[in-house]
Amino acid sequence: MFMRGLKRKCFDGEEDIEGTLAGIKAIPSYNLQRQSLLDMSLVKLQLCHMLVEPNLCRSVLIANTVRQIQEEMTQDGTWQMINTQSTGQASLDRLVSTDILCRSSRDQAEGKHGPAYGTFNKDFESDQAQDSSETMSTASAVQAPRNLQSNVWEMESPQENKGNFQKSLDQIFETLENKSPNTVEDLFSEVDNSYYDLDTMLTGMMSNTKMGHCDSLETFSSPANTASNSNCKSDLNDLDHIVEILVES
Amino acid sequence: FLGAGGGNDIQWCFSQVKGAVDDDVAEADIISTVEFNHSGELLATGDKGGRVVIFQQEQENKTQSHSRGEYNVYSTFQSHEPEFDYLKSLEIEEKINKIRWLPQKNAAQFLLSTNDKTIKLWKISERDKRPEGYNLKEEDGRYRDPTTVTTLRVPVFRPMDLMVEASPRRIFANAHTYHINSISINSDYETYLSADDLRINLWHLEITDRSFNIVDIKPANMEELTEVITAAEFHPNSCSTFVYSSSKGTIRLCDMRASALCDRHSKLFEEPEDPSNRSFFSEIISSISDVKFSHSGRYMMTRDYLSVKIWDLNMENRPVETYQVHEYLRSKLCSLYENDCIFDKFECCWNGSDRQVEFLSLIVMTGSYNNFFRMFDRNTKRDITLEASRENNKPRTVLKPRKVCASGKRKKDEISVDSLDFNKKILHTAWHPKENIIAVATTNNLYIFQDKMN
Repeated sequence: MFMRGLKRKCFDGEEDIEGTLAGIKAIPSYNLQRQSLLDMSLVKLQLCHMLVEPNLCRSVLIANTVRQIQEEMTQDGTWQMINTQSTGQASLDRLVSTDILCRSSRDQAEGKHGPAYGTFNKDFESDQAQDSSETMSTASAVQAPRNLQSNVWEMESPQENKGNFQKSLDQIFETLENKSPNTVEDLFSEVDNSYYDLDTMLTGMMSNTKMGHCDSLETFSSPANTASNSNCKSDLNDLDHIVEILVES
Repeated sequence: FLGAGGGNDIQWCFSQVKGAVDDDVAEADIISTVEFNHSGELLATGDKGGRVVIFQQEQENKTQSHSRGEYNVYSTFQSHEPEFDYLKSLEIEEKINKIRWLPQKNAAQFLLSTNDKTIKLWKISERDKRPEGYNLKEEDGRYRDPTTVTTLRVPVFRPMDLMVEASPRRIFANAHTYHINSISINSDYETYLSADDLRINLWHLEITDRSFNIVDIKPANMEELTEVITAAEFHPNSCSTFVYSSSKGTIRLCDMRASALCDRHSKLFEEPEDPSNRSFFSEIISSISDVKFSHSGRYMMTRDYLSVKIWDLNMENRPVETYQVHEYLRSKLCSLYENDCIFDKFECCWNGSDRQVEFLSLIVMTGSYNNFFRMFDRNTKRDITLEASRENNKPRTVLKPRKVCASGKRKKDEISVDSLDFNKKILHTAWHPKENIIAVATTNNLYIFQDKMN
C-alpha cells in the first residue's frame, strides 16, 4: 500500500512501554500520533524545498496541517514531547501508526488516552541539562528541565510560539517564491551548510533556534544557536538512529 | 435514454486500449490529460513528455451496426518542450496539464494546450492534395530557368496521401508566475481564461502579448498564504461568468461585468464542515481538484479527494447531491498522506448529451485507485465501479462491476482495501459529447469503452 514516502514502523506500545513504565500499557496515544503527524509534515515541507519547483498547493496544504497541529497543541497545553522508550534503546519510531488521527473527533474523544507521559531516558536528560542553560537564555520563564521539551514549548508564550512558527512558515513560503536560486540555502542560511546531506540537514534543523517549528523535533537537542551546532551534533550521536528512521536513510 | 433507470442502464464494454503494454512505464508516457473535441470525432491526449496525440474515430461502418467507429492515431506532435527558467534556476516541465478544443469553424481543428507556464494554440489541418504544374518551378521545387519557359499553364490540384499537420498558431507566454492548472474557453469563442495557483488571466485568442488579470488571490505577504486556486471554468452559456475552486473546498462564482478585477465573488459555494468528521486531514481532503459545469449551466460538479458533489448554482450553502467515490479510504488518510496519494488530483466529467435529450447531465464519472473508475447515476442513485485493465480485453465484452470490501469478510470477487494498488490511479477520464463512449486514462494507457449496442 505504501509506495513511497517515509517508511514508518508501527509503534507497538505494549512491548516497549512495559519495561519502563510498569503497568501502563497503551497503544500509541493521540498525542503521540499527533506528534508523529507533525514530524512527518515538517519533513515533507523541508523535502519539498529540495525539489525543483515545489507544488504550491501541496505545500500550502501541508503547512496548514502543521499550523493546525501547532494550534491544537498550544491550546490544550498538554504539549509534551513523547518519548516512551526504555533506556538502552534508541527512541524509536516516533513516526508511529497514526490511525487514531484518522478517526473523527468524536471517536477520538472516546478513545483518547490520558496526557502523554513525557519521561526521557537518562541519556536525553543529560544532554538536555547541558543545553538547557542555553535554552533558558531565550526564554522568559524558567522551569525545571525534567521535561525539557515541554519547557521549551511552554517557556515561550503561545503568541511567541506562533510567532516563531509563523516565521519558519514564512521562510518556507519565501523559498516557495523562489526569490533566489539558492532558495534552500537561504532557508538554512543559519544552519550548518552541510544540509545537502539529509541526515545533517535534519540534525541541523533540529538544533536551529530560528526555526521555531523545529522545536517539536528538538527532543534530542536544544534550540541553541548555530554556534553550538557542532556541540549539539556531537551530542546527537546517540540520536542518529532517530534521524535515520525519520528520513529512512 | 441515458441510464434512465431500470433496464436502460448502460452496459459498458471494452473497445480499445492505446499505449505500451509493458509494466515499466516511461515517465514521458504518463498521460496527463484527455479531451474529446466538440463533435467527438477527435480524442486528444497530452502526456508528461509534452506530446499531444490525437485519435480520430473511423466513420461508422454501416454494415457493422454493432459497433461504433474505432479511434486511430490521427496526429502526434510535440506541443511543449522542457524549458529552463534561468532567473530562478528551475526547470519548467513540459508536461501537458490541459487540452481544450475550440469548436470547429472551418476545415481545420484548433486546440489549446498548456504546460505549467505557456499556453499554445495549435492548428491541426489535413492536406490531401497538392498543386502541380507550376510555371516557374520544377516538381521538386527547383526554380526553372526563365528562358526555358515557353508556355503558360494553370497549376492543378492532384490528390496525395493524407497528411495531418499540426502547427502552433499562437503562443501565450509569460503571464503566469505560478503553475497553470486550468484553461477554459469562453462561450463567445473569442476569449479564454487560464488559471494558476494564485491568479486567473483572461486572453483573447488573437492576442498573445497581453492578457487581463481577472482574479488575484496572492496575499501581499506570502507568509499569509493559506489557500490556492485549484481549478477554473467558464460558464457554458454566460460569457461573463466563471467559477474557480480552492484548496479549502470553496467555489467562487464571478461576474466579469461587476469589476475588472474579480476578487470579490458574486457567489461563494461552501459546504459547512461536518464537525463529527473533523480530523487533521479535513482540509486536505476538502481541496477541490476539478470543477465542471453541467451542460445547461444550471449545475456544477466538484471533485474532492473522497467525493463528487453536485451544486445548484442557486444554492450556495450546500451541494444538492454528494456521491462517495471511495469512502473506505477515510480511515487510511494517514497512510495516504504519508505516501502523498492524498494530494492526487482526480478529475470528473459529465455524460455527453444524448441524441434524444439534449443537454441533460445525468451521469457523473470519476476515477479512483487500482485502475478503478466510478459512475453515478443521478436519477436512479445507482453507482458502479469498473476497472480499466487489459484483462477485459475482448471487444463487446461487458465489463464486470467491481467491489471493494471495506471491512469484515471479503466476499469472492471483492477486493480488500489493503490490496488496492495506489500506483494505479485513474485521474483523467472523458465522455464523448454525443455518444456513450468514454476514454479512461490509466498511468500510460488510454482505454476506450462503449456501451453495448443491441
